[in-house]
Amino acid sequence: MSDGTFMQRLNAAAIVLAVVLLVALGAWWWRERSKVVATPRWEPAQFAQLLAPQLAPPSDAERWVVAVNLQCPHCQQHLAWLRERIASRSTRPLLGVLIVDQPTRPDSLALGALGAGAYWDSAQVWRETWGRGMYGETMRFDSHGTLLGAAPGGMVPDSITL
Amino acid sequence: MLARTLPRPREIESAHAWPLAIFVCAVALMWHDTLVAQLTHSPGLVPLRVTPRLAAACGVSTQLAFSALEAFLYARLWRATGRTLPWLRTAAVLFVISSFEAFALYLLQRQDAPSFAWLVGARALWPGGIAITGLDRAFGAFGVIALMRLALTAHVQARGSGASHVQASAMVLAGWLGSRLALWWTADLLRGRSFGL
Repeated sequence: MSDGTFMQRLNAAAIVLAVVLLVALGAWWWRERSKVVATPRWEPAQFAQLLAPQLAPPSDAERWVVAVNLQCPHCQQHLAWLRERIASRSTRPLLGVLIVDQPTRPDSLALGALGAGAYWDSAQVWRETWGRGMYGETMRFDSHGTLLGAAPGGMVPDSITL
Repeated sequence: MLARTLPRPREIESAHAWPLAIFVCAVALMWHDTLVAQLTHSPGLVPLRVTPRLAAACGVSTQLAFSALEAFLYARLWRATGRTLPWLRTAAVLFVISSFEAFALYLLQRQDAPSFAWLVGARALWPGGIAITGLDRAFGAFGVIALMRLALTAHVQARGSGASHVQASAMVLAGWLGSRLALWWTADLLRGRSFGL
C-alpha cells in the first residue's frame, strides 16, 4: 500500500470517526435530556439548616442560593466575590448557601454572614431531584421560592452586561 | 504519484502572502483591542488574575489557533473528496474573516445592542448577555454577520480547492452545523457536571 493510499484511508477513517463521535454525543445528550428532573424550588425545609438566616427578609427580596461543595475553593471564592458585588445595592438579594455532595453533616462553616442562611443538602435533592451538577452555580429564587434563573460561578445572575 | 492525478488547486489570487500577513496583523490588533474593551467593562465577570491585555493576547492566540484548526479540518474534508485546499493560506484568510465576529462583539458592548440582533443574532437580546441553554450558546450568534462569515468561508474554499460554490457551501454548512450541534449537546451535558475541584 503506497503512502498516498494509506493517508487517504487514514483521512477517511478520521472523518468517519468524527461522524460516529458526533452521533454518540447526540445519543448521550438525548438520553440525558429524556431524564425527568424537577424545576428547583427554594423550600429550606427540605434541607438541614446549618446557619440560620442572618437578616429579617423583606417580603419581596430575592434569594440567591450558591451551590457550594466544601472541597471546591472556587465556589467559596465566588461566594465572597458575589457578596462584595451586591453589598452596595439598595435592594439586595438575600444570599444563601446550599452545601452539596457532602456525605456527612459539616462540623463548622466559615462562610460569613448569609441573609438566607446555609443548608446541607443531605438528601441529594440538588443533584438527583433537580438534576443540577455545577458547583458554584447561583440560583435566583423569588420570595415565594420560584426559580427565576441561574448563572455559573463567576457571574452575577442578574448582571445586565456580559 | 497520486497527487498528480488530483485536480490542481487554484490559488487565492487576491490573497498574496505579504498583504495577507499585514491583514492578519491588523485583525490580530483589532481582536486584541476588542477583547481588552470587553474584559475591562464586564461587571458580570470575576476579576481576572492577569491583566486584561495579557488575557486578550491569549484570546487572540486562541482565535489564531482555532482558525488554523478549522482550515486544517476543512483541508482534510476536501482531501477526502479528492481535492486539495492550501490550509495555511486558508487559515490566514479565515482569521481575517473572523474580524466580522470582533465587530459583532463591539456591537454587543453598545447600550443599544438589542437593536442589532438581526446582525449579531439572538445573543443581543439575552438578559445579562448570558446564554442559559446549550441551544442559546450554539445558535445565539446566528445573524447576518454569521451568514456573511459562512458565505465568505465557502467562497475562500471554492477558490482554494477548485470546487464549485455549491459544493463549497455544502461543505461549510455541514462543518458549521456539525460544530454547532456538538457545542449545543456538549454545553447541555456540561451543565450537569462539576468543575473547579
